[in-house]
Amino acid sequence: MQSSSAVAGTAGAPPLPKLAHHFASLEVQNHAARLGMWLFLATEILLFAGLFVIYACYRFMFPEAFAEASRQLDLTMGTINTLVLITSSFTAAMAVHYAKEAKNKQVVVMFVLTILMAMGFLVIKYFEYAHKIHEGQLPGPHYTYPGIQLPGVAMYFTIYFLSTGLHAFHVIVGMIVLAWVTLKAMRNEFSYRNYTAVELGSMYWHLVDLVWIFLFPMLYLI
Amino acid sequence: MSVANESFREDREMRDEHHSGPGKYVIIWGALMVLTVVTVVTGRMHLPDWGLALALVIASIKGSLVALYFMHLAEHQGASRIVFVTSMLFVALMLAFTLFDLGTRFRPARPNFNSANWPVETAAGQGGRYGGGLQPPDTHP
Amino acid sequence: MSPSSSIAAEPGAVPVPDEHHDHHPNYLVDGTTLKSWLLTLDHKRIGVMYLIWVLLFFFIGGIYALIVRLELLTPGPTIIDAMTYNRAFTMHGVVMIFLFMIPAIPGAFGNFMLPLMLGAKDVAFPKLNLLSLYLLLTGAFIAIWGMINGGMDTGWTFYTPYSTHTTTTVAPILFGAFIIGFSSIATGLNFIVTTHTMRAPGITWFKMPLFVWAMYATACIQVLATPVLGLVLLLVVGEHLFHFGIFDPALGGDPVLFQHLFWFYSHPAVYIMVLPSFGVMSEVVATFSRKNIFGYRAVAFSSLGIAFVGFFAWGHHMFVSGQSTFNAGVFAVLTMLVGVFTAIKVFNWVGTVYKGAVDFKTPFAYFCGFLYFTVFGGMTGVAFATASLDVPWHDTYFVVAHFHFIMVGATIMAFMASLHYWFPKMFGKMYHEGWGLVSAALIILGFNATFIPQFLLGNAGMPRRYYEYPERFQALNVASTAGASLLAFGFLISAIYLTHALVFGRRAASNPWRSRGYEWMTESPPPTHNFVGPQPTYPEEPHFYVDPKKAEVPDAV
Repeated sequence: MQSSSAVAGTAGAPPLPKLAHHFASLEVQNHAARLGMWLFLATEILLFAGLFVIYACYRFMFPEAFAEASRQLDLTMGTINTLVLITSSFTAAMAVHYAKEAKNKQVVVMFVLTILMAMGFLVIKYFEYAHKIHEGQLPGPHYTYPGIQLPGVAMYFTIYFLSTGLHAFHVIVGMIVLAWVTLKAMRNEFSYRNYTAVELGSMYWHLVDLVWIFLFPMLYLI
Repeated sequence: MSVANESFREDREMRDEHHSGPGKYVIIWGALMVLTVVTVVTGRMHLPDWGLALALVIASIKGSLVALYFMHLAEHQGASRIVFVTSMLFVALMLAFTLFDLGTRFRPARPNFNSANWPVETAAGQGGRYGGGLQPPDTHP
Repeated sequence: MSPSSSIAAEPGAVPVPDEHHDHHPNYLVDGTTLKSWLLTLDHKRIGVMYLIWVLLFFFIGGIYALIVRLELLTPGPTIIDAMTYNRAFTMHGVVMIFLFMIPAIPGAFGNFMLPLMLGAKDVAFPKLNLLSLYLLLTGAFIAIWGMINGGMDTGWTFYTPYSTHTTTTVAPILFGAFIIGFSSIATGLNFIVTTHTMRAPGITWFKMPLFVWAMYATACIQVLATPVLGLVLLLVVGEHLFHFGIFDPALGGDPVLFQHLFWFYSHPAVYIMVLPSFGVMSEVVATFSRKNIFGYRAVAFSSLGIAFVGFFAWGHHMFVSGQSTFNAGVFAVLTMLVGVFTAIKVFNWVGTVYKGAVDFKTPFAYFCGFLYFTVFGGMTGVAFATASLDVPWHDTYFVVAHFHFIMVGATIMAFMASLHYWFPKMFGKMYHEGWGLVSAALIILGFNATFIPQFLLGNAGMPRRYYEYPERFQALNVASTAGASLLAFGFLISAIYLTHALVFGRRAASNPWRSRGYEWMTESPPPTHNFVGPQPTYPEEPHFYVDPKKAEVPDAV
């Protein structure tokens, strides 16, 4: 993918990006990067889709157990998490907006906010997990929670941990990617001619948000 | 000489789409927050028939807003839209056929099989209208 | 413009050596250090490295196959015990499918030819390309490490709950396959973006070579289907290690759900294996019939059609699994659709050969074998789609024969054809044509001798994956093993003369087949950046041998 030459500390116009030799022009290079990112996001969508299929099948088979187990989740924490993630998506989109206008300082601010909100998300998730472990609401054969004894309830918690775990993994990866782009923004690299890295990082973050938008009602609001 | 790939057209379209102010993003963000509240409120009502469908519809609207405006699909033409839509279609395909299977499977083969209501009364019940059941040797159907 | 990149030059003429060649060495000699190969970003070098490695994996898979066939020479134990036998056929499947068939034609020939066919200097993401090679190797080494440590005994399909309970080395092998999946996704992503964004001006979608169409369709499948496999592999490894019970009936899970998710990838995966071979054959048949492809658009669209419809058919692997009969009916009908698109291709290839001036070289010999195997393998496939026929044939040797007809008969014939067709392009040397025809004949004969007895065995009821069998099946099993030996011998001969040609072969012309395919418009082997000077232009469609307006019999074109 394209790399930008870094001009450390210079006040002045951000440098032009390097055009790889095999691309016809910068427009082609940027379009290729964007299309490549969309294809990668499509693979992530299909990855989570498998878990959604598993969820759908077991919910169809054990509706009462799933409804009961869902009520064990802390809806307040879940809602806060959703609002936090949506807001972080908003700041990521704003970062792209500012990058197009070469306002690199604002890009840094926006991405730092995004990363902080992501951390907040993970902290809340940590508390939720800790509560479940404490209660014994664990996957499969480790399920020891006496409060619900319907058939299929352990399956709910298996799916809960698998889906939110995979999602949290992607949140962490997203944070790392955004941190790397933030470093580039601190070196004043972005402008209308070159904002591809900001856009791609932001797209990945939006996908993380998109998955949560579907996970939240499916897990918390049965 | 004809331009053989979409890149130039796409770039021209993006250039024409002069980047508007941040207002658009704020509005979308606001809509997403409102929809989140809606889904939480309706979710807690645990509507028996349409609860799931409603939740999915709201989630789809939220997802579409994120994809179209935060991820700029509304502005990008061509391949990116096809990629996104196609991936969604295949998710639906996977879900549909798998659920068809579970929905129409011979009941004892399902994981949630409950032997209390199986086997269902058929031939010997229903007044013997469809034959079957144990009959004495000399009866005729 | 130097003669090497000018298409006004007569195709096939050896370019006159001039100063340009000294400054633009071919890709093989441009950089001779190990580092220049291991860290190359040149798609051609990456293609060559893929080729070397997939051939090695093919050899390993073949050894496992011979072990299986030797064991089946007698009804009882022959050379190994039952557990080792289970591991042998599992490893044969895993190596052949994940380490050879999925990466082979896309990785070796797709990588090499795609930019050349599109008039581009490289693929869209060269670093990603190199990464995909290393991902394949990493995954392969992890899987092979697992095999050396005992290997798994579940069959390559690792159905639950057995795969989550067996104590054999399931985890490393499936994790290796997981990493190889990323390699596959990376290749697919690269090819899609290359096709969309790097076509030379003038190459519109409907002027692309048909190999590119086939690779594009393959890439779409790779991107859409492989992630589901990735998830399934992770879940099975996780369940093997932590026993959470998603697919285990003892813990409330549904093993048929595993099969749905597994086959959602694995059925389109067989089209990942076979579509590139269809693309190669479209190129070979046009070149060696010296005729424009019959029905270009039909062939192009049928590639997309197979890719699309291939996603709707996965349940035909599950007719006897406990899936609902409603689903069985739906999948049976939808599976038949794939046959329609494949038949379109077969008719078009035959239409290309009809009234063509056939030049019967080794690639064309492989095409003939390919056509015969595709037709019979494909027709048995449609027979399987009929659920009522599948029920007695399921898990018998009839299935084994069917898929080997397609996978070996079609795909490997195409692999051999592409190896011979593009040998002069890639290495600038020519192999010995006589030996080429001899080994093609041995391979085709050996293949028939191996797998036709298996159709008969399966129809007579011999189950697959069985270590022991009744006495009455022995004759056919011996015949099949004899055929396998002949097949192996044929491959061995190819290996010998091709290696000999690499070192001692005579220098080939730039276009020894006088092909009008786009990749032949540069030198053989090509210079590092594929062409010298400005990007070439392609005024005619690919494989434009006969102008329909000027043809003697216009409607024959």
